[in-house]
Amino acid sequence: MSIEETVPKEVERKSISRLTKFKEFLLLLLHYKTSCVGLLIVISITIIAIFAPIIAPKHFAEIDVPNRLQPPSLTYLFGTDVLGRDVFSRVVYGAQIALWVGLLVVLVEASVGITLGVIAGHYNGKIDKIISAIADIVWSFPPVVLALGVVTILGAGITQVVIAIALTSWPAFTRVTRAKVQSLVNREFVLAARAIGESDLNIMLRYLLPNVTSTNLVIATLTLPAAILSTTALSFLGFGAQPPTPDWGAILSDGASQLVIAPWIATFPGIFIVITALGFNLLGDGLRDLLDPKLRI
Amino acid sequence: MIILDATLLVVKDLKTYFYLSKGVLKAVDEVSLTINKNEVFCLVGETGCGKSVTALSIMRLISYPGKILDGSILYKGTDLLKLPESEMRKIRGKEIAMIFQSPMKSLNPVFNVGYQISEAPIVHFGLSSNDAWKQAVELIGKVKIPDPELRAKSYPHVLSGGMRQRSMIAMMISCEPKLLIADEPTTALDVTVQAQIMDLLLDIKKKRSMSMMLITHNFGLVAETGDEVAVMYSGKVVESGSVTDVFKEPIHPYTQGLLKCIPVGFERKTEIDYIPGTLPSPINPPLGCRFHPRCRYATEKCRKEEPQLIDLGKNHLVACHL
Amino acid sequence: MSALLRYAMKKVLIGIPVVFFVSLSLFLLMKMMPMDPIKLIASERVTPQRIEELRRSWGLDQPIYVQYFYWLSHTMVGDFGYSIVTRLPVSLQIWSRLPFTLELTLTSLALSYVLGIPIGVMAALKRGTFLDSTTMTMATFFYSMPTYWLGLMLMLIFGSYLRWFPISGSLGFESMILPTVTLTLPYVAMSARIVRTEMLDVLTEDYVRTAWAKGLPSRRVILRHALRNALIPLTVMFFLDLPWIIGGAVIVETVFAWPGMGRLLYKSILKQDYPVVQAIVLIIAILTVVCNILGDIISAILDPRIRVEKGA
Repeated sequence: MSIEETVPKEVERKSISRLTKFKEFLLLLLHYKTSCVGLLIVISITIIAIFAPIIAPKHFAEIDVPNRLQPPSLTYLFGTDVLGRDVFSRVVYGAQIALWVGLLVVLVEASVGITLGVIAGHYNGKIDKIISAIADIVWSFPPVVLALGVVTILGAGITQVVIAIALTSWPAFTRVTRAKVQSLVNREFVLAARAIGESDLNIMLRYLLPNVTSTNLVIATLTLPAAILSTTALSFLGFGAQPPTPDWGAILSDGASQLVIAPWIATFPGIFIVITALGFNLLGDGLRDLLDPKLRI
Repeated sequence: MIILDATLLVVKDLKTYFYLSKGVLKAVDEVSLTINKNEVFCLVGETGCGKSVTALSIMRLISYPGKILDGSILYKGTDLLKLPESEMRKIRGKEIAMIFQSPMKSLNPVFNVGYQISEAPIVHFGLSSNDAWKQAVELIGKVKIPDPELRAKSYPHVLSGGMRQRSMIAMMISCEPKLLIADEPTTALDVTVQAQIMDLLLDIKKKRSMSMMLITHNFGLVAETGDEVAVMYSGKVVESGSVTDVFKEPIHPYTQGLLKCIPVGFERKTEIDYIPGTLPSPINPPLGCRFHPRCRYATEKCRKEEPQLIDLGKNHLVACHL
Repeated sequence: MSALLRYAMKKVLIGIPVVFFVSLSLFLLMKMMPMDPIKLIASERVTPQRIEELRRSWGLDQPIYVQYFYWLSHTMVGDFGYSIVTRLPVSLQIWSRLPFTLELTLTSLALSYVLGIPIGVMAALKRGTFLDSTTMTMATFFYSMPTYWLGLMLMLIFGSYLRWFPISGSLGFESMILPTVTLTLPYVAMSARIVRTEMLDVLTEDYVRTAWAKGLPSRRVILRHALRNALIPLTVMFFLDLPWIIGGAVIVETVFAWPGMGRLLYKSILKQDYPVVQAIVLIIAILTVVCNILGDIISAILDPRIRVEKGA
């Protein structure tokens, strides 16, 4: 009696589960609709960045002086700038720069920040206090000013800007990592590792580091748009990318001087910056809800 | 269900569900119980069976993502679930009050204790802050906290667990409610303090002719202090009645199992009895009788049909097919 | 002596060496800069002897710690040296510009919170509704906007096309509107998000449930019990935001030609006017440390728990 009963139940359960799993997925998608929009934006911008040479009709430095300061048209989708360069092409190439630079900044920040965070959380005591104090002060210092200061010393240029911006925002990673590590340090698997006699370095590398990955992924996704905003700001002020590099901020700076005559030069790169930053922010918010809802910078 | 003069609160077919992304959590699924005047009503069950949610539903303190779907809660004849929020607000604290489990987290850290105790009388009775403060100091004394004048100015975080719970009690009896719901009031406290708090609660109940709904998972407490009891399992009431009846002759297998789990007296046993299995998921409860997967006497009927509460006389209600 | 006073003094005492440390780092960084200030001032016709004389008169031939001491003693009384470009005392330039910057930044900061708090509270109360998600998405949108672009767009729309407001300079109240809006908008968005998060946190706390259980009216529960607690981290954030918003002002001032300290900083960097740059960065650094300390003290005033935990 029991066997005959259980078999149909198993079959029922399987088909129900397949349907409900799909339903669950759809519900999840709906729940995170804004972050899905974010993901779409991120993917689109990445594609644009990767395939920039193919998408852009002209090279970003190609000059066409007779056609300078033309409003948007079919040949020049976003119009032309002072030197007759195609704004559309420049913006498309600008995506490459924005993402590339942004990624670099985040990588540097993350390496410095996570390392310090793991050390601070693991060791506690004086080292922790020093690192935390430095992190707090650096974090509360206005990033623009700090970046300008670094640029003053090191000179202008993309590399310098990357270093400058990275120096301002690493505390975000440190804080979060430190908190996570502190919550992990007293858990059984770490205590067990210590009992076996694992070295501190090993514990940090093999036990603590992997567990902070998901949290830091969220932070990285949310720091990237800030990095893009900051780097383009510095380029706007003239300290970042040098001409003719089509960094979005640099294009904007060109557009600022021609604002009334040729507003399209300044408008379009800005729109792209907003959309890109928005995309990453929405995606980051969704990731945070998914992976670590209690997170706060 | 007979409503007598002595009846204070009647809960009928209460349904409170929580709508989560994982599914619908049926925390309270058609629960009915009756509390009379001047009695200690105990609501027992394992953690997660819906006792707290029942209490919060009575107070209508259920918020997103939870919702009270169905049923009626008759307090002195009025259905609380049909009242507008402004009316319900007048009942909370004044007629029905509730003290919670963890006094540390339940007291506002930025206000001193005296202020927090004087709030309810100011709002409900329109007392002036001076008068309310004086009353608060009195109440602090009545809950047996030494040096009430000084203590009233203290902040919650400097007080010990026992003192915090006493402050909570003072806060909640400040408007002389007729029903005091106590959700596991002693669980978070030290054993020595537990007894003191229970004594205090019973003392207050006697002096103010108050009814008390005691929510606990401690059967010993129920035996000592309770008049009536209801046993909950997985969102439903499986057995209820007077403490003497239920404890002497537990009918439902779950109740029997629970009572057997308590080591009694000084007998040395080789094993401790336990109820096999684990609590069912509140999102996907078993079909039929919720307890059947763990029940020794489960039959076909138990797997398919949900048992209803049957009156066995003297208001001893059981939900079981046996 | 009350616990609060003790706590405040402790924070200030720790702050002083931090300020020294920061000033020292700045000084050393300055020394690392690849330029010779004398050569910058003097033209080519000046003889090497004269250069040496100048160097000695400025004390640049002394060992580093002596130089630091001189520098420190001058700085503490507000003497930041002379601008390379204008030959005027740096302090004069800065003090004349400071009010403009403060005007802009303090107004923006105050507005961001005055607007952000109600928006955030409302979003928290209506959590999960359409209103909530729309407001928050809009906030994310404005928060993703580069300030300089926003400024330029506003200039374009309101300054050129509609001709409502002036787009540069500081002639009267109207010219402050566009820069303030530009600076405020991203901050309102940010503070609304944070307020919402904090409020949501507090609203789920047990003590708020206790307040409801006492039968207190909603306004009292939300404002007095919930918001009061949520304001603790928010007030601290207000103080920590001040240095940040000054940083944002650098860009806004540049775009709108607002004669503040930020614009001075930008122009000085372009012209390599290092004494000015150094002075402004130093002022901002000290301001940051002071704001940090103030933030700590304020949180101790608002939250009675902190006074007892740390060194009572």
